[in-house]
Amino acid sequence: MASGFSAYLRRDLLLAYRRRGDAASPLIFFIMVSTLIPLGITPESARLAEIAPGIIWVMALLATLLSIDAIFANDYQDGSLEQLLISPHLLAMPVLGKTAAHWMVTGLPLTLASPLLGVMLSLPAQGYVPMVASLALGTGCLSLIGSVGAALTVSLRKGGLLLSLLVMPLYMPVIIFGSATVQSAIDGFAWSGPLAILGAMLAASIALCPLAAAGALRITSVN
Amino acid sequence: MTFQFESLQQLLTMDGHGFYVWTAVLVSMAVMLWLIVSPLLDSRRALKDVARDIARTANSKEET
Amino acid sequence: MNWLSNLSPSWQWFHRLGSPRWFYQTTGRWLPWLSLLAFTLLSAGLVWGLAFAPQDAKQGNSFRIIYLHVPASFLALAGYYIMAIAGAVGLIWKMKLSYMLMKSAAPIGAALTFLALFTGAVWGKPTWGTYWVWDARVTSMLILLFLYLGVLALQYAFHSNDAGNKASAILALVGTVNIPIIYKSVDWWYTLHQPATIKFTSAPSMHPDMFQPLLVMILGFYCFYTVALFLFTRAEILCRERKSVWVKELAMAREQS
Repeated sequence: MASGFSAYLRRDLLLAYRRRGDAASPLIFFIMVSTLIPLGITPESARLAEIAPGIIWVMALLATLLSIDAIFANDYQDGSLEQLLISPHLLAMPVLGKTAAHWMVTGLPLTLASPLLGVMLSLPAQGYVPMVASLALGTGCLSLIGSVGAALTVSLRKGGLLLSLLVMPLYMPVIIFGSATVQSAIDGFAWSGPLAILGAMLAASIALCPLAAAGALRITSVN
Repeated sequence: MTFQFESLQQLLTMDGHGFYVWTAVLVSMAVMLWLIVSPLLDSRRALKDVARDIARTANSKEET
Repeated sequence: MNWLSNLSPSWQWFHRLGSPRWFYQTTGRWLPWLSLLAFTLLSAGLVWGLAFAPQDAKQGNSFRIIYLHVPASFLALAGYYIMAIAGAVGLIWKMKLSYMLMKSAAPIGAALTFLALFTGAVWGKPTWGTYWVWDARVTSMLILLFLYLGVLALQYAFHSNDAGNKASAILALVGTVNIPIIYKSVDWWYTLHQPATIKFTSAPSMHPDMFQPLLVMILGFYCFYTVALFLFTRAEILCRERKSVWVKELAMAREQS
């Protein structure tokens, strides 16, 4: 069972390494769009600091959305998804492996790059640790929930935009608790509460989302 | 249970809240009416299409 | 499967329930009565609420919008569960009729969610001085609308009805996970909105004179929802079963009359 997980994790990481350009674009998007915020709103650091937690979280969400449809689309096009469907593994394990690989090439880099954005948007000092912690857990949720949407829309020609419509309402609790973690740290409150809820959401997503995505793949990739 | 307003005029204005209350009522009625009328129209169209198809196939059989 | 239904008669209703023709004929008999009931309840409740219920001490007459807002919100939420359950039944027992019910529940639910948001906004203006407030319940209602729109969009994105049905059933089930969070959010981000006025576990905190017409309206909305769900499903049945003999006979009989 676990072999399906690690085999597909390794395979997708290798594929991502070969297509480094594709893998880097969400990260570049994340940084570039954040440059638009001071240009569009204000360069004043006091006002930027107020909105920084929310902005960074919204950007992380959009960057994940941008890349999530690729999680199954390439495999669908080259036919390897069909092989996956007839393989003896429990389908949820390979799906979890692929989702983990997606997180490692998008969510993890975003998390690691977020302090840089924090500096650019003059995030207060006490916000950095909670931001990195909440992004690490939260982007995992984003990848997992997104995998269900990606599986539902994999066979549709214009699935990308539809995918974001389907998935965005499901993302809202994550973004609420994600930015609440950072905000309560900045305001000087305990931030372990919202972070713990994010952790619970991640645990629930790990348990449920691969099953839902596997079920969706069986239905949608048939035709 | 008593009528709360002294006149019909007062029922319409509702002490300045009439606009809000009656807008809510009218829009609700419109939406609910749509929920009833639109499936009825769909049903009627579906049945008409079926009847037309039957008539058409009957005609083409007569011609041949 | 024949021996199975002979074996236990209790399964027969289940198989019959799955037949679109049976559904069409049975609901055809129920609809006049149900529509009459819905119409009576709604008009009685509305007149009672708008003209005879006492006005609220703080909000004055604008509170009368509650007689539309609360029932619409109830049905908007309940409708999502109905949709998700119908989708689940379809996925598990592969029942065609169940998918048709699910597909019909989506536009009705979306319309009622819109109605709940609209009446809430109109109520908000005289009460809070603004049409829109980013309060927990308003926001979760908006998310509910997005969930409905997602199910609708996914349903129509597929060329094959079958794939669209199954995909939107899964999406509806995934969305149900969000609904407890919508309820929880009332506690989490309670800001401007009033606390939940009706709790079925305890006595209503509203005055009985105000509460009774609300109860009538809620019952009326439930009946209305059932009527609308039946009508949408019947339209869907006629569309999908247009090749079957009984629909052809129905169309011919209608044409001749």
